Amino acid sequence: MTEQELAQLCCKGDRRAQAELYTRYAARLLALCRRYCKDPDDAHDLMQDAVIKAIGRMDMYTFRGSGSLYAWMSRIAVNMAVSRLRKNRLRFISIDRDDGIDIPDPPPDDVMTIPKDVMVDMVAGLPPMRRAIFNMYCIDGYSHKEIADMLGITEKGSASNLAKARNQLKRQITTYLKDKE
Amino acid sequence: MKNWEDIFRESLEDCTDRLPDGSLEEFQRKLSSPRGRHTLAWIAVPAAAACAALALLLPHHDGGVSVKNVVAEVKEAVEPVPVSPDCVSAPQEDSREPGSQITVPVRKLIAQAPEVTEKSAPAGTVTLEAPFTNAQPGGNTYDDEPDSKETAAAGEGCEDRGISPMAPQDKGVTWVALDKASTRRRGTGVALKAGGGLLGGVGAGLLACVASGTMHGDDIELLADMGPSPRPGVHLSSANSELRRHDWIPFKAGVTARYPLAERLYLMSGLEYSIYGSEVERFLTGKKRQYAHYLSVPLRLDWSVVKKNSFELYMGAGASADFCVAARYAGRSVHKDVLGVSLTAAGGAMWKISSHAGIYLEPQLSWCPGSSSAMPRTYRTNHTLVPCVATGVRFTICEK
Repeated sequence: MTEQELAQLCCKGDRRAQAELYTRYAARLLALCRRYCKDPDDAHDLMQDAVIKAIGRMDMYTFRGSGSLYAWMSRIAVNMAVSRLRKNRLRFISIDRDDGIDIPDPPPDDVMTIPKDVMVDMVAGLPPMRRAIFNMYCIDGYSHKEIADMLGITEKGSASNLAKARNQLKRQITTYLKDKE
Repeated sequence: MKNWEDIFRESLEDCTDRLPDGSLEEFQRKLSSPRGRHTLAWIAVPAAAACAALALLLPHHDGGVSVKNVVAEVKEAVEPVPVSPDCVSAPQEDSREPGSQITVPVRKLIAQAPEVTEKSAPAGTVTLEAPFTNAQPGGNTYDDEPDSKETAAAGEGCEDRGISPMAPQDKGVTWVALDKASTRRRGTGVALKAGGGLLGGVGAGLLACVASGTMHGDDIELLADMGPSPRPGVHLSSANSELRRHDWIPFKAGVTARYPLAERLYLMSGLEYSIYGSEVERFLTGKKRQYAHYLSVPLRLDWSVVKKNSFELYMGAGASADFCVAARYAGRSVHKDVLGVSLTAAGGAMWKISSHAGIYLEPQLSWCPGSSSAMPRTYRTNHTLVPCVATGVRFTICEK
């Protein structure tokens, strides 16, 4: 079944197609949500909510070639993650441990040895705002302007948070590599 | 050459995660949970609120309290109290209808009152419009003369029976509020319950005030501008009759907070200030302005119809406790009793200035029942349905 057919059937409320959609994309979406949520259960909830929302709005989906359905669903998931982050923003207290010193980039060869789930844990270990900005900018390809609009912050704020997230990740990578040795 | 970020991107971009056991079943359960019913609920809740508001507002559209009900309630509330015959002279016709008049001669006013308005009695009298006050079949002096057009001569002793002092703060003017609620409130211990005593008392009180020199033109004017709505209450006109009145639609500003009860449903409360202005033109004293200031505590259920980024459209319905905190007529402080209650339906827009605060602008329509208090006559007391525009800052607390 092509993406287009799948979308059309989901739009008509076909239960089998909806289950197929879930089976096809849930694992990838869960990995994406896992990057935005520290808690795995929250990530799972977010993923399911995103798929349900996507099914509910499937009539708004326009087929733009292979892979566009996942891209569209992933945007829904990111939007929902950001929306939750915005709603919970006042609950987070980030203790800024960034001393402003640039940490040298870890050697790429060593970074390639880091397992994926450790990388996910490292990203998930960032404070919520930095985590979201790092994910959106470095992995999901959003611009600072888009991030600023979505998170309700300034572009400068987005860039500043990204710099802090990078430093924090580099520190974590260095520590991990040292411990590994 | 790839840096560490590129490696992270490639590793995380298209990776998959293992779904927990029973994930698909959980998803199907969630999917088959009645999402449609939720949508229906979002339509049903505001629809029910709107219907309730309409049900409350529509029957009173033409004049607030139902005339039949008020008459019946007053009949129940008013108990027979003997009235001195020299206080009241009996009329001959039975015409106990809203808007009928009670005429009280006031000798001292004769000199001040060469002319009166078309509604008032012959020169030298003070005319009271007392729609529902003396309806008491079988019992008091009025029983045999159920006409409400009665002449109450000023008589000694009547004052004790029918008058409750409510006056401008700086003058000893006597005033009577004659609506159903006040009649009830005063209970058995007050002679207000007796129509005869009341009328005699009003007449005597007015005469006493005028005779003792405590009442001046302005006081009479203040009297005329005090009290509940003319519909259920008393309208007193005098030599200084009201020629023209313009009540401005009130303006409201406030600081409110709302608490989310569900995804789009909020419980809203706070503190709102409203101002009711009027311009009154009188025969003797010309144009004067009056302002009544209210503080209100609303309690409302709001339903968010549209939520888009920082913009929101909503509608809601609820009640509001309104306190008249100050009232001034022509720069002079006017006595006011404080509490009023209104039912409100509103629809408005809110622009978020932060994630938890927004500026709102909402047209409101309130139903204000006739007040039992001596309030300055304003748009609120003269109209049952009060439209207004409210603005202010609204905080959203504890939103998840």
